[in-house]
Amino acid sequence: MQHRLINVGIIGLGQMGLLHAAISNSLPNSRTVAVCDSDSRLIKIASKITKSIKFYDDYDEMCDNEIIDAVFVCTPPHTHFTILNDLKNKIHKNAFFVEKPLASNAEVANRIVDMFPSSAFVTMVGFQKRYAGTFSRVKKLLLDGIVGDVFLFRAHHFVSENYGLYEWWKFKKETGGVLLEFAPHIIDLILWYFGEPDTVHAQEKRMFSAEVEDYVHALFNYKSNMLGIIDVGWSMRNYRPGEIAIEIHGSNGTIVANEDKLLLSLDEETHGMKAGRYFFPKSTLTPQVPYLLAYPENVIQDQFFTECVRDRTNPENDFSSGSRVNRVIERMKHANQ
Amino acid sequence: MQINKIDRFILGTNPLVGTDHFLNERARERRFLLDQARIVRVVEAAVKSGATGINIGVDEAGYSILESLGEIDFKEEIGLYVMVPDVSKYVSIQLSKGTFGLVKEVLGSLEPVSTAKMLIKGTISVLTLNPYRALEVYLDVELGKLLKSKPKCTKLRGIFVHEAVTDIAVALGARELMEEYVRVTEKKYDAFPGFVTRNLPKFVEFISDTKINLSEIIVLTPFNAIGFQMTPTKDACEQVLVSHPDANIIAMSVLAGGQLGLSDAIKYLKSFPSIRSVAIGVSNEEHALETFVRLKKELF
Repeated sequence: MQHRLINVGIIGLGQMGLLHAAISNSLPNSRTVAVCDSDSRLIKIASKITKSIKFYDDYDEMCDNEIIDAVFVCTPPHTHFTILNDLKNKIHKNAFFVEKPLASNAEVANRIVDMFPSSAFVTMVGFQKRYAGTFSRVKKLLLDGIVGDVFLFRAHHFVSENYGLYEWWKFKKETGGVLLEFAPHIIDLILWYFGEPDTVHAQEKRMFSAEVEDYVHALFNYKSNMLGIIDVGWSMRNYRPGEIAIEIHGSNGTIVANEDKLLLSLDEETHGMKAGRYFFPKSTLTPQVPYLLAYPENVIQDQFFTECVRDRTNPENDFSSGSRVNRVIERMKHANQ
Repeated sequence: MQINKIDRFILGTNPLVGTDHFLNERARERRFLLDQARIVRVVEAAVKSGATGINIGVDEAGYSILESLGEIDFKEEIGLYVMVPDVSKYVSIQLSKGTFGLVKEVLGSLEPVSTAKMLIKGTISVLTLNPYRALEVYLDVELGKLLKSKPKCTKLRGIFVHEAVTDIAVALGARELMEEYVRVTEKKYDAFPGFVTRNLPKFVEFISDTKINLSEIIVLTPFNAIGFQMTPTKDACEQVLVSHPDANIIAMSVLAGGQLGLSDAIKYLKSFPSIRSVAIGVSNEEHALETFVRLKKELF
């Protein structure tokens, strides 16, 4: 059966908004019809560069004037609730993608989940690391129990980004900090792999920011006796591009993975794999994409979202999973206090 | 375009400056161990072994390589291929100041080094929010600075648009921006307008729908035996070589980020005679010597 293209609208023309606009416009089953940003100067420049996309400085107007099947909300987290609330009944296929994190706190995230029941809406939060070849293979290895009972994992997300007292929302107390801005990716992976921890301990460190944390060290304890150690920092030297990495120790071996590679070490033969060491570069674990922009996982995620919209199914990284990430972030904040 | 003016063997400088498309971990180590004296030795070994061109970015590392070129006594002219813009720097600014903050910062940064004429144009760009004028001023300033710094032994031969910009511009259908870039480059600089892309088939399809003549630009794009970074497929990219023999393709990632050996790369490139030029990175003197001696002897 021939499906018509999914019409995509983008709200927020920052780095991620621009990327989603470009990806959606290059995928075989979707096209970007309109982009909105509250900065009218930016909209004026963008409208001169590309003529096939309509530009607006008001998202209500955009959704009133255009047939938008699915919308990507790529604005700061503290603005998500208002935008979603305003547009809840204006998107033709009831499909909403929100850049991570879902909200700036757990209470608002829960309200969003209540507003968008999975029976009526297709929702997704931008946790594209799940779609990276290495991290999705880790999930499969864990589901298969390849390394046996996991007793320890260590994970980090380091990036070289913040070395000054910036004035933007990312560096303000209520809306920013490394926990909200960077930790969601690694926390989402951990929740996807192991579920929510039973107890959380955390310590924050300010190094360059006046109002927010630049580094977080956390311990996740599980009733199964598994311990998780998590470090997230955005002021780390020599991490551009940034790195998300996880090391998982189990009773039958170890998994070490980052965006580029997966190393597997097995003590004993299992699932047809002999005891020994295995090296899987990203290129052997990543499917071909129709058009490569940024990292393959960005494209795979957006393509999957449009397929979910077409098939009326919900992905695993829906609003509900996004709210769990917000909840754990909140627990880390409280644990530090 | 005189195709024979494009250097056949171009030294890619990613491994020298700590960029790695296969393993970021390796890149971090290399950046940590950056050493100007080693860069000089590697560049010298590459040029003496057969590299006649060198590809650099307009970032700090690129200028460091330019400086190293000035320290070497070359007998022949070295073709210089530069990649604009410095995407990493602009991503950092965007992340900390937002998109319009980035636009303001870029235009603002042009002023202190620009001439009065450029300044007037830049001011007009800000006032009228004209991206085409802004592009011209940006190129004037960025390339003006580079031309002042480049050693006499080099000749600016190609100006590439970074893949992050090329591929987004193609995806969004930014035809006039691409046309304007080619127009400005051809008008003002005695150098080939170029694009880096990881999506060759779509890029070529897009270009054929613009005023740009494919045979008058250079295209730096991955070609290797295992299809590393060849999108959407290795076959589709190879098909472009057959359907567009007039395209001036410079093959990059021929070693697939270190996953392939030089023999594999040479064997693969030999099977596509329409690839007339190759950009290849080397990390040490021995590697430089072996690579360019063998390329010169066995390829093209």
